[in-house]
Amino acid sequence: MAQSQHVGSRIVKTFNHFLHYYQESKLACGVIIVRADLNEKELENLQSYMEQEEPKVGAQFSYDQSEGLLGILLDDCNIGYTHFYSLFIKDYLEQQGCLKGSLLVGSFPESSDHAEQMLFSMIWEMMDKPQDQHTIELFQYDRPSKQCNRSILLVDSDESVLEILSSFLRGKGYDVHTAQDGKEGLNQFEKIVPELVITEINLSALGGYQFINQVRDSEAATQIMVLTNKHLEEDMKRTFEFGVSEYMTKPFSLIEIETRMKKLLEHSM
Amino acid sequence: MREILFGYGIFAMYYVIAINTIYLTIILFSFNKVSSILKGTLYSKYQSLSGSKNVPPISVLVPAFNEELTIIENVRSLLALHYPKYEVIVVNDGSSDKTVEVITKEFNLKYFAPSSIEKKVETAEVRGIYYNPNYPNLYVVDKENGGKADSLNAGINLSNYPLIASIDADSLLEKDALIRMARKYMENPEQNVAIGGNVRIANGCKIENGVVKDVNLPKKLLPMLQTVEYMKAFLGGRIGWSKVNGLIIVSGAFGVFRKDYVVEVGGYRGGYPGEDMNIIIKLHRHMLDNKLPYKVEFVPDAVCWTQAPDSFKILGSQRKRWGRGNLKNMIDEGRHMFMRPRYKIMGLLTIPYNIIFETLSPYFRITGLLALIGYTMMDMTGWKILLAFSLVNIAYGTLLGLGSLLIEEIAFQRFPKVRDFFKMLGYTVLMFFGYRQLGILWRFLGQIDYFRKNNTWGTMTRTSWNAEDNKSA
Amino acid sequence: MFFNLQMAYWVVYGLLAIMGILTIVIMGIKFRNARNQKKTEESLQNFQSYLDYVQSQLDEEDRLRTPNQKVGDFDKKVLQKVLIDWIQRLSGVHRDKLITLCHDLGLIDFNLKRIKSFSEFKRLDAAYYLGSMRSSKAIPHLFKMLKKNKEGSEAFIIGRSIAQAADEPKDVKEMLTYLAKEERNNYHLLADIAGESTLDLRVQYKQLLTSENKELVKLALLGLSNQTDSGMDSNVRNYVYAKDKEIRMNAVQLLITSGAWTSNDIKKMLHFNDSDVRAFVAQWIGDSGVVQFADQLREGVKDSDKIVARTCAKSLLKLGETGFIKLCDVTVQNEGQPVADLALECIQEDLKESSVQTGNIEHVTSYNQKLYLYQKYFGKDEGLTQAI
Repeated sequence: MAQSQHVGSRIVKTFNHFLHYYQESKLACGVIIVRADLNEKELENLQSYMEQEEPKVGAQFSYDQSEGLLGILLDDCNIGYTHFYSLFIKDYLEQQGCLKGSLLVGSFPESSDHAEQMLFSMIWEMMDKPQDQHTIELFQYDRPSKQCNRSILLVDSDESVLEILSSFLRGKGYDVHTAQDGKEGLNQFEKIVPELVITEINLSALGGYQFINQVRDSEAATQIMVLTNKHLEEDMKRTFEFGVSEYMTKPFSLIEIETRMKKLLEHSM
Repeated sequence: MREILFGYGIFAMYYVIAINTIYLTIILFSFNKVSSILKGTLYSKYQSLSGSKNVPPISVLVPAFNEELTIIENVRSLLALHYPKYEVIVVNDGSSDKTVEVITKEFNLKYFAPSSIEKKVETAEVRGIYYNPNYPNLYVVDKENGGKADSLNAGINLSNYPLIASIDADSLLEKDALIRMARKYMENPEQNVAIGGNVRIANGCKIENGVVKDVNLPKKLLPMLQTVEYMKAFLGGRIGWSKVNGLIIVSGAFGVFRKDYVVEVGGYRGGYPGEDMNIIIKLHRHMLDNKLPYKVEFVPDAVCWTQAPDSFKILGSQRKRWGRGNLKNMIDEGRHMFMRPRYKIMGLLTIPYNIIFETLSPYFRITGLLALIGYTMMDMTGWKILLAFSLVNIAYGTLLGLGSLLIEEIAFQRFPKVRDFFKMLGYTVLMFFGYRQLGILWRFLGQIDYFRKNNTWGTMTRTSWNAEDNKSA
Repeated sequence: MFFNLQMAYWVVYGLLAIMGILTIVIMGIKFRNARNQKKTEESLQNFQSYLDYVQSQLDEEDRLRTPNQKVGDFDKKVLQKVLIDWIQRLSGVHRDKLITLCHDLGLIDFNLKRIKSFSEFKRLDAAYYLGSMRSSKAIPHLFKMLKKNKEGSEAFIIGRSIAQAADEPKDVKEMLTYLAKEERNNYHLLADIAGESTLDLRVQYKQLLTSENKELVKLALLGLSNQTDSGMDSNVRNYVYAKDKEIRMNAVQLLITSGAWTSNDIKKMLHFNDSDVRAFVAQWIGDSGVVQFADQLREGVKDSDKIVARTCAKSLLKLGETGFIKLCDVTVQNEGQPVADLALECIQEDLKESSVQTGNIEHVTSYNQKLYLYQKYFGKDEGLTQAI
């Protein structure tokens, strides 16, 4: 905490009592931290641009010259909207040539239980970020109660599935690894020994059954879940014989898969 | 004398032009069909189809003769195909190496007596079946040596499913090749009696864990020439022939068949190469004799990769075998269908085309060339005619090659680089300087083999068919 | 023979000219593809942050917002491809959310315009996307397209779109009836297409059961078998005696899986005069492991049809210890007869299979139990023990 006082002091100073207020009255707010190089005129332009584009939002801007960081506080906004708002910021700053690094998006109470602490952590995280990437990132959960560090390995040759699922699960705080075929999956598995493997049966290089077999033979305490295109009862029966705990078919519901995962992981604890 | 030589030479020239013109017609049919193929493949959902309950199960038959070095990798990659329900039946054709031992050890297979096999087709004696319930869709059949056709027949006898796929042990299927074939089949299961897949040359490609990762053109001369040749035969030729339902061959390297009809025509014919062409001709004949509506389809987006021979010796023996097999098929089957209207396109176009322009072509071409050379030698002023003859021949042939390259470009784009296009074009031209002539010579020698060995050919000889008939051009 | 040198040269020139044109065409296609790819990449780059937003906020309650940038026609094509890839893999609320987003992005109107295009490819492309976006507005257009396409894969693609987009079961039925009118026995494909629909098609299928078109009857039997419904009407029961083997088998399957048949019915079916049906029923008993039919299977081992007999034996073995003992009994009681040989062979095969099957402790104990029983019945068999 003492360290955090030093950095982004201006932003912290400006926002601190607001955040304190949100915290106390349990109201929602969004926070965006951007690495940018702005003079006062440019900051004003940005503010008026945003007022014009999204007039309904109460937004406060605070810029720290010495750190090169811009903080934006959005009144009564959830993470979804704050993320959307940051798209405008990114676009505008990029066009003006003022964007010097990435954007970090967070919201209270979705991203953190503690509003002030969230701001510190966000600024602290921004200090470490490389300056050549212009991406928007979501502030990750810092709550111990969330599913952090629960490692999951996704194996599927379908990139879209990997993309959707890993983004969804990362958002939930899981530590997600991916592989595109059975061989790669096995290599990854041996490296990270995840708590849960979610795999397709239709896999190349090493077929799904062989992959499951090898994972099971490793005698790690890993749970196996199948998420597959295969709708045949034989496959379901066979995978259960192979020691698989859950069988889901595609197209799949993200909510269902999360529920089932939670159940599995609770059991394994 | 001079006039006769000249006249005959010119006749041979028109003969070549006629071949090319027919081929051009076929390519035009290919163009006509390619847009519908493209539509079908672009908007079909292979992902979900590859797990659907409604897709018919397939028995994949893999005849193997002395494959101890590669069989495990191949079986592994076949077990990893994306398909709802299929079984892999490896048929060991009395290998003299340790093919059976290697595979039973790797998959911990147990011996079972072959008593449960239903003898739908006659085969050499089956010694046993190997199986392990941990790999419920893998069977190994061990049998006495009887050739490739015989092995396929043994596979048919064991197979549990209504569709069979024949696959060479040394070729590689793309993961969705089977489901692409099945989709075509499902559109019309009543009539689609046989479906051929596209065979591409894997030399030069980067292969990792049984999957073709990077598609490249071969670096060596012979594989490169065969790449161009295959592309012309498959894309330019077979798409068009299938459009008019006159396809005479489904490559032995990759084809899917309705088992009931294969059994009805007596299974594969052994003793000679060219059993892949033979089965298709028999199917055509059977269906037309019984007045059943049917189709022999070709699915160019279902790809099987094969290693092309890269030495003259192996390529030569492969082509000689094709020549022998082709002649045998024409004598056994083609003869009965030649110019008979009841056999429709097959009888009136495909078979005559094959007999006149494929089987007999060595005789016309070689004598024609000799006549023209003889004529030119007698009268040096005739060199211009010889030159013109060659130019027309080369230009026409190259044009056909270009047509196939255009189909590739429209529908598949496996070689997007500009450099690759010119390389392929260059080799299309190069084909006419030696390779073509050599091919014709090999075919001729194959036919000589046929006549010489015909009476002494015993069925008991051990036959090796490692780089056997993938296609006949 | 006619030969004219001059003409030969002209022919060569002509061919060269055509070759030149073809080369230009090929290069043109290559150029166009490369440019399209570059444009696609640029567009994706442009919308990367937005797509990231869609992905990470998919789980939020709010409606997803449309991007603040201008979305041109090319961008629309790129975006819809990405979004449809996601939609096809998801079900439930998240999919609906993405479909709503497609709507908000104007993609439905965009494709409704394209479906009237002169280019066949554009029309089909639009049909495909409209289906995936479940746009019921597109149904009339889709039907118009369907009826224009008499053959080829296109009809099935359009059919799939109709199944996805329809919000009236009768539309799906109309589409299926249209696709089945050639009676090509492709009802499996039709069932797969119908499966895309989220509607309850039971009523429609029941209507199709009485259709004149055999294909539709098969489709209906197959379609109904995916649903559990005890109220099977007499039509289905009659189809067990149909001439067409596929109708027969599908009807049997439906009657068994829907629970319409009582266990007495099933017992009777093992003596049905059609061996395909007998084999099917025997197989089903084994697969579903209903021990109460063990006695019927034991009798079935003596079936005159070899395939049925074998299936019965194999199914008995799937019933665990009870089945195993029953099969051993068959062997002992019919000594010297072919039945005994068949039964013994199946038993030995089963033991061998179990011996290599790796797996959990259950497998091991069940194998030991079976081996013990085997030795009790037949003594220690050297040959078998060695083989194992």
